[in-house]
Amino acid sequence: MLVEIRNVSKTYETDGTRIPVLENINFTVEDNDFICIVGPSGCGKSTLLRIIIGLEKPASGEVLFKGKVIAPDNPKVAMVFQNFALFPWLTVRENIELVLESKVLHEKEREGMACKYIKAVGLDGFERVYPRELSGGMKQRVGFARALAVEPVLLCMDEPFSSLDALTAQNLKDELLMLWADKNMPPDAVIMVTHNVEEAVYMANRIIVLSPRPGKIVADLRVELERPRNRKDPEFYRWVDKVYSLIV
Amino acid sequence: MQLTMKKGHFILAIILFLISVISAFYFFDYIDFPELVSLPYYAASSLLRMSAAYLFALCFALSYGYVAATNTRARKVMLPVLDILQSVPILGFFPAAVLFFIGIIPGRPGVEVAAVFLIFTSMAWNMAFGVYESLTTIPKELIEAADSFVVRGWQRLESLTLPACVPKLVYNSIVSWSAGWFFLVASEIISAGSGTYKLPGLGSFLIDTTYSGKIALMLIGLSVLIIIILLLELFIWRPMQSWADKYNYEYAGEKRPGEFILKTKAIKQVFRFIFDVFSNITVSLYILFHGHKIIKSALKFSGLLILFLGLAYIMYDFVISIVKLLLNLPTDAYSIPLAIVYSFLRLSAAYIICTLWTVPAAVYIVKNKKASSYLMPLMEVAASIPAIALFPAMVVIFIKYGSLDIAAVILILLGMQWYLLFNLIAGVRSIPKDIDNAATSFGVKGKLYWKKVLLPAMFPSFITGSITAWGGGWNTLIVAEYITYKGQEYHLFGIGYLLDKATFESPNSSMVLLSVLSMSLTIVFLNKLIWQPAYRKALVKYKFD
Repeated sequence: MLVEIRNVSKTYETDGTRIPVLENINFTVEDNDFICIVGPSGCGKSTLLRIIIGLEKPASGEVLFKGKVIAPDNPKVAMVFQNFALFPWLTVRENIELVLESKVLHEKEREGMACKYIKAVGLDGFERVYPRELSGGMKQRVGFARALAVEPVLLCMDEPFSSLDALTAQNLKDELLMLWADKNMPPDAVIMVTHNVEEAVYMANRIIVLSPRPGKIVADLRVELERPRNRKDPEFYRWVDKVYSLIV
Repeated sequence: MQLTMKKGHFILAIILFLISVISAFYFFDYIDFPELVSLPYYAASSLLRMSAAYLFALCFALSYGYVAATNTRARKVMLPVLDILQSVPILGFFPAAVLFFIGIIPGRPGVEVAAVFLIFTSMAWNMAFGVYESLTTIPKELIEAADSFVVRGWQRLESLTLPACVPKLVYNSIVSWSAGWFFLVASEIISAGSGTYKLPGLGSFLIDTTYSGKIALMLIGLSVLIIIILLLELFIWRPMQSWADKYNYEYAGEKRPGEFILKTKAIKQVFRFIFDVFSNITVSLYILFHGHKIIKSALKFSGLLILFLGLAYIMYDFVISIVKLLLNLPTDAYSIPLAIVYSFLRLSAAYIICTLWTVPAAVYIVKNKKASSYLMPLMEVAASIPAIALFPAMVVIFIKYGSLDIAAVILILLGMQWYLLFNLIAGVRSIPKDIDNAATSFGVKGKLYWKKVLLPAMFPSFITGSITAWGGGWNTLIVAEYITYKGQEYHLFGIGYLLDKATFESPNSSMVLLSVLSMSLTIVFLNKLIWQPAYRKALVKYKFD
């Protein structure tokens, strides 16, 4: 058992009115899980992810990582952001080296690791380029490289493909699945928030469906489809329909 | 070296040079060479004063802005204080500051410190706001990325905090620097209490030559000042601005129209180097203070203690002087309300003229690419000449041919108009292309286009511009209502005159205090009553997002 989410609830307060966002969320993440969290917009998916990695505190309940309460600076957890969150004044390589600074003390070693992951996401040749000179897809590759470079046990992603074009997204998805399946490479487990049901069925081995606000777990499904999955497969469509019917 | 330079600049530089040479020869018999020979020395001293003040302002801005942005409890006090400091006419507090510094450090060093302090006060607040704004508008995701990837301590300072401040800090530095010129001229001749203190510099040269009627020398001094401003613009501010673009979150990559930039690798490397040195110093200070718990807590304690004692002392002093004042009100005090009304009318007149010409001018400049390539550089140069430096020349003309009232309004106009113009230009430029295209394709043009597209789009920047313009106006007022020329004193009745009179003519510290206080109160009152509500409304209704 890698992560345990216990009775997590969250409310926001605006102008004195309390808006419940999440209610009583319970589930566990095992090694080798690839979990997709889906649900209608505004159901608190992103908030849940931020709570899981410790960027936000739950109103009640707790998140345990390997038995301990999660902290945002946990080096075993990494995050890929929806809008990339790259430092505009640092080059691709510097962006990655920055997050290694507290883990890898030797400068040469940092450089080597940064280059390794730049290569892994297919960005070799762009080490010295600034993020603004890259296309959206390439920026998100840097986002992936940065998250993978810290060699996390758990990788969290907040709609990482939503600002990319379909083709780039597909390539990145396949590369990510390969990395996840590779036992020698991080990460062991992945949690991804998405509003794209097809994407969830394509990638996940578990899909958690949240209800409209306040978000509650409606279903926790184990997707038993052979990999690599085929979108044209009728069985694939049955799964997509099933998840859709749970959301609506 | 890649030198892209617009014709307008060349022409202007040549014209200026010719004017100065011709006037120099024309008035040749006036000129005494010793004065002229020491002009480079004057220029260097003035520049040094400016640089020293700027350096202090930079350090102040970074630390003040940082604390205000990160410490929510301190922010509640620090922001209003900054707001007041920014809107209060600093020039009025100056005599008190001079006496204070001369009291601590006797002789010329004391006067120098006082001058640097005055220039500092014209630079620092706006830069501190810049730092505060930069730090509070860092995109949330970027902060989360730094949090989740354990970027903290000195490393966070170096890779997130400092770079995030660069664009606004550079932009505000340019504004501050030109405000600094204005105060430099005022600070080099200081009268306080019974004595007048003079510092060698371009400002005192300008004032001296005017008052003694050496017009040729004054013109040469003015040309030197303008040339220095142009050179700084060309070799420092423009390149620095283009270097700072790297630190923007969104960077269109296109050159702003009507701009010329000197691009050299060397200059970029120099900025990079300065930034590195600066961030290294900051980082090592940070490590020193945060690394050791004892130092940290000692620092915190002594900082609080100094702050507390300082505040207590100021409060005590303030209360005592107010009590004294109320017990023994000077006779002039009763004329203060009327004086404020007079000054306000002068400011309003200047402001109306200012609005009338800047609104159409801003639209014209943005809409006509060709005109803007000539006009923009011309305007920028004109704007960088401190209005106060032109005043002596104007007074000479108006004393001979007109009334001082017109001269004062024109001077105030000069102190106001550029703020409004440049803000309006930015406002027109910020209209999204889509909206403009939509207007064109649906046949919205002429009067309707002005009413429904242009004017609403300009409104937020009109308000911001007006706030700064009025700030500039109040400061100009202090020099606009009182002048001595060839040993004779000319004045206009107004709050600026009362203040100057109490400072220079018949020194009366309680009158100084009263005038400054009532002026500050008026300004704060106007801000709260008019500008702030207008700004809030502008943000809600007319902002493109």
